[in-house]
This record gives sequence, structure tokens and C-alpha cells, in this order.
Amino acid sequence: MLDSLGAFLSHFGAWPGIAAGRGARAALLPAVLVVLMMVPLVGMGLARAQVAGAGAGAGAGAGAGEPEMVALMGRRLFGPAGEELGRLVDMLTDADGRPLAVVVDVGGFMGIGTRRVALAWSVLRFVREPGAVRLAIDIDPDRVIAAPEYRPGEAASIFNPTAGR
Amino acid sequence: MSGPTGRAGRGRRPVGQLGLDLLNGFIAALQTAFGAFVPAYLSGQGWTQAQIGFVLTAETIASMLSQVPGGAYVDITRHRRLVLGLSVAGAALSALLIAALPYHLPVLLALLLHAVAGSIMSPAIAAVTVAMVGRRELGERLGRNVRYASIGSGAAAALMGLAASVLSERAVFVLAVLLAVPALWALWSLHPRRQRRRHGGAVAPTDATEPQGSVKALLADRRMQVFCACVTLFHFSSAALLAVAAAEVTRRAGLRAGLLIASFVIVPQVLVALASPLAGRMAERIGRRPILVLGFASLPLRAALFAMIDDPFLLVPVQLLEGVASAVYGVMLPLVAADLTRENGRYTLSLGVFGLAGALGAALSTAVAGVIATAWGVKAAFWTLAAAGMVAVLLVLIAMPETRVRPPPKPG
Repeated sequence: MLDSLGAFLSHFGAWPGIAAGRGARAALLPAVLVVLMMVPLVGMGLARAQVAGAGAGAGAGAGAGEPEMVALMGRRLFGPAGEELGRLVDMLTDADGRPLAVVVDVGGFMGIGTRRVALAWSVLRFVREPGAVRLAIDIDPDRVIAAPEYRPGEAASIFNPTAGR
Repeated sequence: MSGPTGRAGRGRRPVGQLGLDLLNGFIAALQTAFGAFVPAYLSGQGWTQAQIGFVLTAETIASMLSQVPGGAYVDITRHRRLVLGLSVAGAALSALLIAALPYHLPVLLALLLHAVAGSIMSPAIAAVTVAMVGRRELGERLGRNVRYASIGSGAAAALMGLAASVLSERAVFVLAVLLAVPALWALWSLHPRRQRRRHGGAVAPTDATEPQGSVKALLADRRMQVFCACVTLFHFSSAALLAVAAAEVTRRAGLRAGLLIASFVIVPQVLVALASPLAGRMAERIGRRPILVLGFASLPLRAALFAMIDDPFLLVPVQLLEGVASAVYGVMLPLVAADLTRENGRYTLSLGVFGLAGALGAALSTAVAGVIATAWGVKAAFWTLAAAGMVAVLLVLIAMPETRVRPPPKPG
């Protein structure tokens, strides 16, 4: 079977005058190895997906009175007019676990030119929508996008337009 | 180009050209998914920045490590089209894994697979090109490769961007898998037996298709070393420019920056699509050096203009210079490599070496420019890149010889 497969594949690579059978088999070996590698990965992935699915199912089935869960990482952030600003990539708390800020990748085009800014927690609005919770801010998006670049460890780089009131 | 070379044969457009055009286009389209969309997709899947950074760095390292072995492999294999097909399939498999299993280990392995596949794909395309058209009109054919790659990646970027916003980022990778089908079909259409049936001529002979010289001699060739340095400097001077500039534009222009940055990307791509075959033709007609100098000279000029101009809208036409540089580089790299390996046949090995040199230059560019921009500001970073570009131009002017081999004059 490998012979006829090799003959078939040799149509791709048979240089004039060169018998392809053995060579094609040799080139096939790495391909077979790669495919074999995928088997445990697929198994792992399916197992993971099952766990995640079970978890999501439990969350969605929570009745009234149980707290909803909002996963923050990777969630999109929207501006006051519904425009997409960027994605949450990190969350900052103080040493006692009180939320300080979220770190967001904003702006740019297809990943080029995105800036990372830290927004004070108080600036976030959690907007309830049918079936989902939307993260939004009320301040002018251009101010957010122009905020100083987030530097890990520097509290001063957290953008907080409402501070001092 | 099959059949008789020279004026009589030039009017015909063999189907093999179309197959090669489409091959370049669809492969470039497939590769587009892996550029911008991986971080966004993984982010959306809840990956932390550290995790994303890790897999991307692992892929970059794997790509660098596999450049030379990949090139060496394509040289010694006798089934270059088969290997090219397998590498395209490998890239498609990688996209499939990323789409289906967005978890740590599968994505890591998928990106490693993609890195290796890419290291084989690039030199394999060049090798197949040389085998198809011979060395007489190689410049123009390589220019067409670059043209269709630019068109393919541009169209794919638009389509994938649309798919990402309308459907999901996962759809981008499904699209990438689907793009492998026409790519492999185009590759299939390049089979020599089918070519001969179509226009009845033998494939033009090349000088040395099989590696025969010593690798050590190749690496000791001063022209190779000089060109390696030129390649590294080219990438060092150019790679980080757009990223640094785009972040600055975003800071100034806020939400509208997206459109501006899109223009920064599109303008050079359009120019590359238009001008690459011309660059190749010129390289054949007037020599490699003039074209190389032109392309390299646009680097310091572009960086200097970025440093001096504040208005981001004025920077859009400056990006034409990036188009010039990219077109020249995309054509000249495989062309000069073919020139330098004319006798020893180690064509794709040299491409692998140049690929590594370029990757190192690009990595250094990003690191250095990032540090300088943070410590001394964006303009300082631009001037640094401009200075590196000047060094590159000087190196080409002083040390890079003309590598074109004029065919002996016909008797009588």
C-alpha cells in the first residue's frame, strides 16, 4: 500500500529519470511521524474540551441567586459608542487582593501598533446584556488609547481619569 | 519558461507560469494567518500574555534553528516538489491544530511544525522556480513570485480580517487550511510531464541542480559573507520600524489610527505587487548591484523621514520606500543566491543561511529599537535604524560585487 501511495505522491516530485518509489517513502516518513504525534494531542484536546464544556454547562445552568461568572482574560473592551477598543490581557490587584486595574491591548491594525495601557478598575463598566456581560468604559476612547504605556510595577502608569475627585 | 528562449519565445505565456503564480499566491495567503492572527486568537481563547509570548518565542527560535537544515534538506532531496507539497500540508495541519485545539501543548507543537514547514517551503519554492525557468530570465520570474506572494497575502489579510470580525478568529485558521487545497493543486499543475504535454519543449537546463561543491568553500566565499552581512543589516534597519511607528501613530491618532496603519501596510504591498517583476528584469538587464543599491538606499531614507516627519498622514507616501526595499529584497535575495551557488549547486542551503541571517537581524532590530524607544524616545530609535541602513548601503556599495553572469556572446 505504501508503494502505490509512493507512486501516487511521486507525481508531485518525480524529477525526469529518477525512480520515485524509495525516495518518496523516505520523504513520507517524517509526515507519518507528524501524524502519529497528533493522536495523543487530539485525545488530550478532546478531554480538555469535555472538561471545559462541563464547566460551562454548570455555569450556564446556575439558577437565580447564584453568582454569575465573568472570565476576564481575553475579553473585549468596548467604548461608550459600542466601538471595540481592544482586549483585556491582564488584571492588577494590590497586595490585599483588591482590584486596581486591568491591562488592555488597544488600538492598531491587526496587531500592528497596539498599545498596552492599564485602566483603573473604577473606569470599567460591566454592562449586562441578554446572555452575556459586556465590558465597557464611559470615557473618550482616544484618551484611553493615548494613555501612557503600561509599565509593570509602576503604579503611576495606571490611567485613572476620575482620580482626585 | 519552456521552449526556445530569446525573442521568439518571449511572447508565449506557458501555463506553467500561471501555476507558479498561483502557488506563490496561495502559499503566501496561507502564511498570512500565522502572522497577525495567532496572538489575537490565543488572547481570545483566554491565554495569558506570558503564555502567548512563550509560544511565539519558541516558534521564532525553531524557525531560526531550522532555516539552515531546511535549506540543506531541500538541496539534497531529489523530490523538491513533493517536499514542497508536504511542507504546505504541514502548514495546513498546523493551522488545523491551532483552530481545533487552542491549548498549550497542541498550539506549541503546531507552531513548531509551522516553523519547520516554513523553513522548507521558502527555499523549495525558489528551487522549483529555478528548475522551471532556468537562469536566463530568473530575475523576472522571481519578481513574479514576489508579486503574486504580495497579492496573495494582501487579499488573504483582507479576507481573514473580515472573517475574524464577522465570524471569529478561529475562522481565520480554518480558512488557512482551506487555502492549502488550491496551493497544492497549483503545485500539482507544475509536474514536468504535464508541462511538456502542454507546450512540447524540454525544461530549460540549469547549471547545477544537485549540490556538488563543498559547504565549507561556500561559507568561506567572501561574496557569501558580505551578502549575509547585508541581509542582516537590511532586516536590522527595517524590521522594527513599522512596529515602533505604528505604536506612536496609535498614541497620537487614537481610534482613527487603525486606518492609517492599514495604509502603512497596504501601500508597500501594492508597490511590491506592481514593481517586483520590473526589479527582476532590471537586475537581469543592468546588473544586480544597481538594483541592490537602490533597494538598500531606501532604508536609511525611510527611517530618516520617519524620524523627521510628525504628521502621520505624510508618512503614508513614505511607505512607498518600504515597497521599493521589499520588492528589491524579495527579488534579489533568491537571485543573488542563485548567482553565488551557480557552480556548487547548494542553492537552498545558501537561502537557509541568508534566512537565518535575516531572522537574526530582525530579532535584533525589534529588541534594540524597543529598548531605545523606551529609554530615549521614538525618534532616537528611528535615527538608529537609519544609521544601520546607511551602514548597509555602504557595505553594498563598497564590498558587494556584481554577481550577474553575462552569457557568452553568440558567435557570428
